[in-house]
Amino acid sequence: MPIDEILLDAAKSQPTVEIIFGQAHVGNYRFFLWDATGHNPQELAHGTNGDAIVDTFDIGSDAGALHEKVLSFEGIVQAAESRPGNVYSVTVMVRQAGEVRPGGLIQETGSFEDVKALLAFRRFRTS
Amino acid sequence: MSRIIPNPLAACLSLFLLPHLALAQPPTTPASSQKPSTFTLRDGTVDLAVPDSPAFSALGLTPEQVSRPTTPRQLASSFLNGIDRNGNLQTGIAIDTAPYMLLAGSRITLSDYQTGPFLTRFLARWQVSFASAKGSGDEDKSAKLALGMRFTVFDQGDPRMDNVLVGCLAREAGNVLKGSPPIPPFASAEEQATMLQQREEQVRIAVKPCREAAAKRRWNRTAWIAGIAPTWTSADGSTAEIDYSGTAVWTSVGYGFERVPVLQDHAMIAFYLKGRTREIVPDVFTDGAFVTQDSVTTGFRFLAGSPTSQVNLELLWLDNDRPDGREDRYWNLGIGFEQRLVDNTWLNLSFGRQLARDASGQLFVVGAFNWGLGARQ
Repeated sequence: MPIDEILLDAAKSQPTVEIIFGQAHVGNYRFFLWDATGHNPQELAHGTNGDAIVDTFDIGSDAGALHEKVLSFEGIVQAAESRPGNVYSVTVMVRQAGEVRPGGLIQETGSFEDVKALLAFRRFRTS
Repeated sequence: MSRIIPNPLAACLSLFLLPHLALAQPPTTPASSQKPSTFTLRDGTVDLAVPDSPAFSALGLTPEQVSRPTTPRQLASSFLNGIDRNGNLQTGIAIDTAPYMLLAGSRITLSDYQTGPFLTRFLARWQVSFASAKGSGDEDKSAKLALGMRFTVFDQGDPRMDNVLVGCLAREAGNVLKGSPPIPPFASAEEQATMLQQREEQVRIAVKPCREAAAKRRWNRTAWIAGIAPTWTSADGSTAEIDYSGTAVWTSVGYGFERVPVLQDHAMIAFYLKGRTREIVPDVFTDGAFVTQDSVTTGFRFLAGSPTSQVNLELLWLDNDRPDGREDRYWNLGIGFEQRLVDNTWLNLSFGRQLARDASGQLFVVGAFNWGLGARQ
């Protein structure tokens, strides 16, 4: 399955990732960094919007070192009130120097009742 | 035409204690020989709750398929489907949405909701429904429309404000993620979907106690909800002939005795108001005929018990304003017991007494016992 790309600038600072769970739902997440072959995952961050900790983190590597590597996002959205027709909305933004990189905006919206598990992959391309 | 309005207290007493005296007014007659009023005695319960989708209720619909758009584009598309190229209304449309969350929800986080201004929560809970229905009968080409709005003015049982629930949901989902191996990029779409489904099921099971505990905490919390649904009718089904055909309104205020020892866990009182203008209903005084009337129902209900077993006492005043001025007002007093059997399936036992007037203007009392199984709001 082809993986969409995020274009990084080798001359800019380390990328950061921000995650927003919209619709006032409860969200949990974790991110992994995989090597270019899709193996050897390293957890970058995990958390929830149900606490006071900011849901933004540094990837921890220079853009050059991320070339060809794969970022995975795994999330779980839950509605506090379970009912048909609930809408979920999740946004992940990969930034460098405060600007969202091309391909660095991941958004998913849909309907669910109580629990929705999410998954997304992006491959870094550094130039 | 003179009207005798029963004294509430006397009515209450007579309804249960003196059913055959009925306020010492004109003699009562057996219920079986009377032409009962429109009110059906507690078919399960008198549903005065503000409906989730007022538009559907105003048209008396329980649509099997409801469009719940997740984007503004889908909402626009759903509305456009309601009218064909020739300007004729399409019936069978049912739309339910929360407009503010549809437009801005992707940027409304849980923190925004919990700590933001009151207006954020008010708008987030604002729901709009739209429905269209065909007139009854094959020869009837009329179409009916309703636009409903539901407002939760305040709700101390709002699950999104329940930090115990939020914390529990977050903790259990975190545990499920922590206990699951990461999904590799090379997994097939089917494998990925299967793993995601497994996670959803694991979370669902893990948070069930969280949700049940939250439901117990909020079953009787203080809240104020209101709804309104204007309706229109087109005699020939075209947009050119649309005419206003009355409005339905609801409001309910519940008080859960917060911070009052014992009562805060075991009791609730609620006031209801339900009104409908220009409603076409079967004429209770003439078989086979219909009458257009305005009606108002006000009610009071006291509930006592627990989240799963409740006794309720209910007093209602129903006033149907008929164009011919005939008396159609009455009290209804009911007592009931509700027991949750499983999930949202409830056993309902109720006994009601109605004090009304028959076709000749005499007061009478009718009683009925009902039971039923079903879901409830």
